[in-house]
Amino acid sequence: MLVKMALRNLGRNRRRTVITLISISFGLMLALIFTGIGDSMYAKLIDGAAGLGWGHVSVMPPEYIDFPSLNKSLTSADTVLETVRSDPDITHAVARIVGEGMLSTARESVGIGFAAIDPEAESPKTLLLLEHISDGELFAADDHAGVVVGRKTADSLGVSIGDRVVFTCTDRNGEIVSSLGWVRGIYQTGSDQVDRFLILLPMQKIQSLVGFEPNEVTFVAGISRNAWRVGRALARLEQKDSLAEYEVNPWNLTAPDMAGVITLDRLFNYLFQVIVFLLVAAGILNTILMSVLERNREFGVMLALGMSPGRLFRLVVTEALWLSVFGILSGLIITAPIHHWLHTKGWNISSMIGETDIAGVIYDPRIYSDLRLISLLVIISAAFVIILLAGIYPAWRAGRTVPVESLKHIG
Amino acid sequence: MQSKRAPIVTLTNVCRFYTQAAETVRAVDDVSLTIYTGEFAALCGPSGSGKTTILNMIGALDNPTSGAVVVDGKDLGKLSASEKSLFRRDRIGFVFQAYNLIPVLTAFENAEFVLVLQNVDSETRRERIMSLMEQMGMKGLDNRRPDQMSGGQQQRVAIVRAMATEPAIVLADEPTANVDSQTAVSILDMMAELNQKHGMTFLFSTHDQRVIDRAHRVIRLHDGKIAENHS
Repeated sequence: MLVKMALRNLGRNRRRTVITLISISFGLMLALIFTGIGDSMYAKLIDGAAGLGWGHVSVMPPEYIDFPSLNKSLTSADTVLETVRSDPDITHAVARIVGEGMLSTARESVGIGFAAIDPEAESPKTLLLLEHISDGELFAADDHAGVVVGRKTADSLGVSIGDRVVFTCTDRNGEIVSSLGWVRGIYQTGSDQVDRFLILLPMQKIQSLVGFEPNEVTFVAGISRNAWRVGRALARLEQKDSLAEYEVNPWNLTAPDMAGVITLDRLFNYLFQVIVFLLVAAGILNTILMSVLERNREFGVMLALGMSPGRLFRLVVTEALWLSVFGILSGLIITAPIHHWLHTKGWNISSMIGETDIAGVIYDPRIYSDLRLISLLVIISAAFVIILLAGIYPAWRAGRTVPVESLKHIG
Repeated sequence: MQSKRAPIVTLTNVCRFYTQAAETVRAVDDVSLTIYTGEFAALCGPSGSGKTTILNMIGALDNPTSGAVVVDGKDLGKLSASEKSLFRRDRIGFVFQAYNLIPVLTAFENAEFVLVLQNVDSETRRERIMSLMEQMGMKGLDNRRPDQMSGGQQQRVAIVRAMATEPAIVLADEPTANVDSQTAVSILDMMAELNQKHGMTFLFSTHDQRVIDRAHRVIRLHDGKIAENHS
């Protein structure tokens, strides 16, 4: 009877109930859409950060992350690659040598960062900028003199496809070494920071130039099938005996700027959601409190007839429960088509923004919503709890009704 | 006749004083009274004479300032709030002046409300309520909501609700005040019939002469004191 009464009580002032349900639905929709967009954007940013070269996880020599140097290396790249690839959440693993140096022509010189790669092992999945080669192509496996540069670097040096450049860096012993190369490809990511800094060089050439053995690299990058599964892969890889002498680092350590951006954005997102939910909760509190105050006499009658204050409390909480059930259901119903559109088609915001990079990481200017199951469950649970909490005070007041006062008339 | 029956309500030197705007209002002033099982008694008197206050104290809704109220063998002053709540549920039947049905419940649901609180099974509830509704001439109206019933019909439902739990006493506060005279007569006839058939004890507060005329015993109150008490 309590459940039935609570349901019918919501129907007593339909307009007020509908307005409350709209506010719950709207609040829930905002929370879900913003979280979905956030989840999608963070996953893309994480994938973007991973695609810049470090992967979602990277196996590297101890302390390399704090003190990078060509003195530090992995001496058994094949074993490490095999171990990383064997993880169920890792789809690709590639070896890299990275460092800094200078790229010159006869007239100009620019400081650059280099990544020496094995072109046969790489794809846009492992190195995002391969997708953005606008002129020429990636050097072939047997091309030991190929160089791929960013558009900004090419412009600074005044080079184009086929032009000769000189690459200079210090080897593992601190000696300055140089090598001649030819521009095979020019990429343009849209990120100034990337386009003017990073160049790609053939692995074998750099190994011999800096004094590495054929099986020696700076680090091995692993690409996860899902940005949110990195933690699990990381935990497993850290337990592997073959990696015991190395560090296994997640993307947030190799791309700390991006991790900071995501953390800050998430914080604001949570704050925004808390504010939305507090506003919704205030509305619900007002609705239920009004309905409780209006029924003071009725509650007095119920208590006079022998209903316990606890049961009356439960009646009002059940009303809040119904409100939360209907509010959440209607919220999900109105969110579903919006989420579907954002999930499948996305919203192109390129006209609203200029550059397409955040903290040096390139991203798609189209906004998608990709709500994680855990986010969905957390938001629904939070909405449910908040609505129930909003019903507690009115329910407590109802339970404290003094029947003789409520029924009072002179006699 | 009274002496052969057991007392169901005993008020001993009961006082109920209120403070209103720094003045003490003596709503009930040193009242001693005994109501016996099966009585059909009326508390009458002008407004403010203390009728409702006495009913509230007997119904465990209000506490006396001093004195003792014993109902169905229980000294109400010694019961906790939750014990009083259970006592009201199980031993008292209330009929209010303004019917006070729960608007979202049907006639049947209102009538069975207290039985639900008592966790009586649905079959027993239906059996008992339908039988009482038939006796009260309410057959076929069980699915109506209060706003779909006349005042008289609502008061009949309230009486069924009060009777359904087979309480020790039915306390009716001005039960005919809000209904027309024809309905008032029919309601009184029904209550009298229930009193005779089931031996149910009724205590009314009223200033309706029709109620007073039908009562087997009339207790007149004036300024919170018993002015007259006769059968």
